[in-house]
Amino acid sequence: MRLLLIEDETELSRSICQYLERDNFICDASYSYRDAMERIEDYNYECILLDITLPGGNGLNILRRLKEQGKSDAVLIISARDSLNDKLNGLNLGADDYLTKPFHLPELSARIAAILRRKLFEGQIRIVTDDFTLDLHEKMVRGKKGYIDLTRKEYDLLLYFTANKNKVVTKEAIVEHLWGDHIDMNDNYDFIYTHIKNLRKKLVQSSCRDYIKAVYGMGYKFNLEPEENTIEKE
Amino acid sequence: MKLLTKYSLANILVMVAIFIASSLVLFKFTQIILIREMKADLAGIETKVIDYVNLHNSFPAGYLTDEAFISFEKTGINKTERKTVLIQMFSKRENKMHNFMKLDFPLWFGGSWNKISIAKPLEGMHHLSRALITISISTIFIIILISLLLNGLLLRRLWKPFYESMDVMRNFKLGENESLVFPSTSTEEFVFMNDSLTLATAKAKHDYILLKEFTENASHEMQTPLSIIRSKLDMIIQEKELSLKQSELAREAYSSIKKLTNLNYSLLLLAKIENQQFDNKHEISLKEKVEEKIDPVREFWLSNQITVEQLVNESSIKISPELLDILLNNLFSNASNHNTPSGKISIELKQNKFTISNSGSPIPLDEKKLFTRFYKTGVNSNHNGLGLAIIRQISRVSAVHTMYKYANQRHSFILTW
Repeated sequence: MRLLLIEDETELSRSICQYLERDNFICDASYSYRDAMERIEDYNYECILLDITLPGGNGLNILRRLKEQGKSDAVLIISARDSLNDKLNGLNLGADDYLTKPFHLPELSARIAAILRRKLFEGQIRIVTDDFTLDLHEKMVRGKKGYIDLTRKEYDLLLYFTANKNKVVTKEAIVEHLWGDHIDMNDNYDFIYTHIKNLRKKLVQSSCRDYIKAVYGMGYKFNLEPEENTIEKE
Repeated sequence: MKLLTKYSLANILVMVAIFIASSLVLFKFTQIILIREMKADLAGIETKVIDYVNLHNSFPAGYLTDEAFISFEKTGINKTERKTVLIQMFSKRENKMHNFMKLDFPLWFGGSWNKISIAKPLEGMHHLSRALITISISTIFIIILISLLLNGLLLRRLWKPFYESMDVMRNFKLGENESLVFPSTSTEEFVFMNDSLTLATAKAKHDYILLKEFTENASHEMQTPLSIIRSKLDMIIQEKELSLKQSELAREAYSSIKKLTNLNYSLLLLAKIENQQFDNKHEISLKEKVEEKIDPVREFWLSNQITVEQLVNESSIKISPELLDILLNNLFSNASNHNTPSGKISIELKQNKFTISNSGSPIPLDEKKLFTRFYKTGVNSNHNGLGLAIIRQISRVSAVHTMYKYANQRHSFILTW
């Protein structure tokens, strides 16, 4: 799948591309307003990551141009501006999501995955692995022996992991994704351990492999062979 | 002491001094003139007596004039000296001792020297001095009285624009958009003062806005490098064969980046609140909001063995939803992070009153410094010390009153509105 990243900070742009390319995305980087405008005329992308403050112009104009042309490229705004007005502005112009800098790359990954699922398959999809199937419409997980009874948090956690498979994800990023980032937890993330433990237990009990590996002092990694994971339309 | 009182006091003192001095001088001059007149009078009587003696060859009998006493005394061969003296004598007319001026002079008559004494009462002078003193004192009193009256009236009238301007200044707050309106006045000094004040406040406001803009821009600019560092860390930990040591270093770097991000976010937030960027006030059901906020933190409390008592009743508040969100987040974070292991938190919501208390350090916090920026209790504190400053700032723009109380080993924050 092809992505366009419109971001003037080359270093940030490089990290994002490297991270996403591991998920088999083809990532085009554009560093300026004019270059970005040319690219959206010439190509179609599955998803565009758009910074608002760009040298040479406002990123929102690129969004307007896309909508004028009736293009269906999904747009995720990544911006340092975090006021409600900025967000509403972007979303009203037709952006699919809005992510405030600084963000965790796994969070970006999860947001892109969610947008693509919505955009390409209208949410009617299943994530299928050898051992389980995640039905996004029903918000259910089916294992080899039938439905696996997961709590809301465990389901969200599993979905988050599938968007960041084979990557190390920090506890901090998990907490921010599942609980929101504004409550300052004093760097005390032990409480997510219970959720991880329960999810692992439930998956293993349904004869799944033990996908989740703890990375010492850091976080967790969800191991999945690349060819094992497919997205199916219902 | 008021300026005018000071001025009047000096004025009155000087006037009193001048009056006393001038009265004294006037008294002295009048006295000199009167005495000279008296002496001339006495000399006139002397001439008359001599003429009489020369004419009639005898002393005039009794009184020559009504008010003058006259006496004759034979002194033989002794010739008395001619002199004028002031004496006390019994005045038959006033029936008491009185001041008299007496002239003694010698006269050759009947083959011997005689001492002739003529005395005239100094009644006139006595009356004059009394009149002068009365006039002086009453004039001084009248002047003081009039000054005091004028003082009171003028103070109210003339100084009114001054006090009005001062009232305006007292209500002046940096960060408020309303411009100052000083009362119009025709007094030049006050016009000058008002102009200077307008200029000074305008400059202060301008500088303040620049400072705020600077904070906001600085925070925005900081976000980009923070994003880059965070993304690089996210990439580093994806590396295979990362050693335990390297993981530990990365984790510490993450932790610091998070702190820096929070600090930056808080500073930006404070600048925005001061800039009145959150003026979308709505009537919000606080009960719903509080319950919604308790939910995600519950797990954190559970894992830290913090027990929570909650008594949440229906109450509504008019506030910006975004600010309410931040306010509750900060209050909950505060109560959680400064708690002791196996501590307690109690949350109580009543009509127009929200109280959150937590167990914590046994020392009450410094109420004066508590809500200031970067207030920290411990040296190695994990927090940026802006949480309470944000709470205070949000309360201020939302017309909520915040109070801190320490009782029964509980730190309480009480919000009323």
